[in-house]
Amino acid sequence: MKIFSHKKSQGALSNYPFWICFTIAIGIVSLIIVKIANVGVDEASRIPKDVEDKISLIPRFYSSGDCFAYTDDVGRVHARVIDANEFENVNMGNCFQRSDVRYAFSISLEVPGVVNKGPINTFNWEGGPASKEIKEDVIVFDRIMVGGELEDKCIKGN
Amino acid sequence: MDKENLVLIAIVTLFVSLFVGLTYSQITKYYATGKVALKTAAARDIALTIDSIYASPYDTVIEYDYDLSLFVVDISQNRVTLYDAADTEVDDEYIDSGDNLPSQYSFVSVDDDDLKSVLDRPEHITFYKTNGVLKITS
Repeated sequence: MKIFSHKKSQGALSNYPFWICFTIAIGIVSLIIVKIANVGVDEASRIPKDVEDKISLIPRFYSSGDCFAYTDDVGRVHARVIDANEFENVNMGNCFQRSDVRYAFSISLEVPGVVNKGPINTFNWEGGPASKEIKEDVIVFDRIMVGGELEDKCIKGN
Repeated sequence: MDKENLVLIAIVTLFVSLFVGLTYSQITKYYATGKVALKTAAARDIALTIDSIYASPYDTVIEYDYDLSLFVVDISQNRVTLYDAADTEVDDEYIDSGDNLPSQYSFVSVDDDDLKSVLDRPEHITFYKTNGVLKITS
């Protein structure tokens, strides 16, 4: 066929610069595709705002007996009741074990005029300004039960 | 070069470009909405489920009824990793995978250093937490 026997076309195809440019072009297009696809994958599997920190991670601080939640004499854990005597740095190691999680917390416990404890930091808290402040209403058990506020400062990593 | 040939080359180039363009968009769409996206989303979903179970003060059973039989799920070292099952062999909790792009997401355990589970092509996953100890089976 005449189209494939054209001398200039054959010349271009046997030319090294042509193939180098061709390979670079294919590489650039592939990179663009992978980049666009990765944005698509991230978008499709994006965790909605507040779900990971506020719903999945923070409740352990006031609901887990291995964190700061009050456990009564029969071993029953009371969610949203914080034992002021357990609100210590030493309990944070078990409560929030080492991992590559993207969130770090600094928590304080306050009942105005009665209890003021903290801050207690998770292992990955590096100080500096918090990206978010979350306040949770809790009951504080400190010989007697009083109303209180748990303040979580949160930093989200990348 | 005569005009007839030039037109023919232009038409062929146009069709080839169109074909390549459409194919690339299909590849991108498949990549972004298919197995890779499911693998990424499932790793995150399982990690968040584990975080939520640890946050609960009660004994808990959760049935995660989503077919992940295309993957091998490795839960260890406070991390959920999903491998493509087609490139992965499992031998008694030892994973040998050729998957270059496994999906990973971290969770934070509560007083539990021993959480380890390898689920080979699970069609559903069950999470049991009793007395603060979490077990994960398929």
